[in-house]
Amino acid sequence: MNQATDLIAGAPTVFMWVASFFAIFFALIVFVSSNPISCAVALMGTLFSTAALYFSLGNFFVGAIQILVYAGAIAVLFVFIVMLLDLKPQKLKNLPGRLPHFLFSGLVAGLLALFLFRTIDLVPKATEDSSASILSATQYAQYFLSQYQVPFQAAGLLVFGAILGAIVLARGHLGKKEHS
Amino acid sequence: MIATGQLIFSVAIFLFCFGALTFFTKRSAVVALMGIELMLNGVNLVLVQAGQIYKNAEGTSLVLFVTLVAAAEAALALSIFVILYRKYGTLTLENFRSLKG
Repeated sequence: MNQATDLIAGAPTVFMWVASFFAIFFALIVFVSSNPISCAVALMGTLFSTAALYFSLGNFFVGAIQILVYAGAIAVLFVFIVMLLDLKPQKLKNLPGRLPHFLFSGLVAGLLALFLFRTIDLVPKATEDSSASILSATQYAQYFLSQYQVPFQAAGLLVFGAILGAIVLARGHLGKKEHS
Repeated sequence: MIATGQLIFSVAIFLFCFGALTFFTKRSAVVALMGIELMLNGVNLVLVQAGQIYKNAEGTSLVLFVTLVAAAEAALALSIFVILYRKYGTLTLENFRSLKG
């Protein structure tokens, strides 16, 4: 029984409880709030709480990537778009007409949660050293250049295509002739 | 007392289900995309935890790919939203029905 085993099979620490509580709380705010800017800020809170969970699991590299890419790039992009387009809070218009929609969505999500919670007990407990799964940046580089070489190249192609698509979309004269 | 693995899986399930609810019920396209990000975040949590339980590196390697795809998707979707806003003046999803037969 070493420290890495205690991290999985042992009881969670107070830090983990706090981070879990904030992750779920901010996710609830994303769902409940009608103001897009508070949704974006709550999403950022969830991302930071999840990064704290990664840190408490000992997975520091993934936590750093989570903060840098998710909270640093994606969430800031959301805040930027909401402020650029000046999106107003949306009131729940014609709620009676949308009530079946809400009920059906809640039913689907609730059944999904129920089903997933029943599968938790099927997961085996970690009994031995689980630190083999915690990679450092060097090990990530070695994996991506040997075992996962093809997916890594494909991911690079995907990012290249996304950059090209974003540039074409942002220039704004799609399907039109140049005027000057 | 529950184990740490169960706590992490529960948090992941809550994140995924709240993300799905957000995606299903919100009328604003930007907030619906935030729901997708929440769902991806829950999946990332499961991948890290399952990789630690099964003691291999696949889980933590997949997390980086998921993060990368999420970043590319967010950048493209948000630039599409800017164009939609220029063209229609709104981002409410019910107004985009030009594909409705």
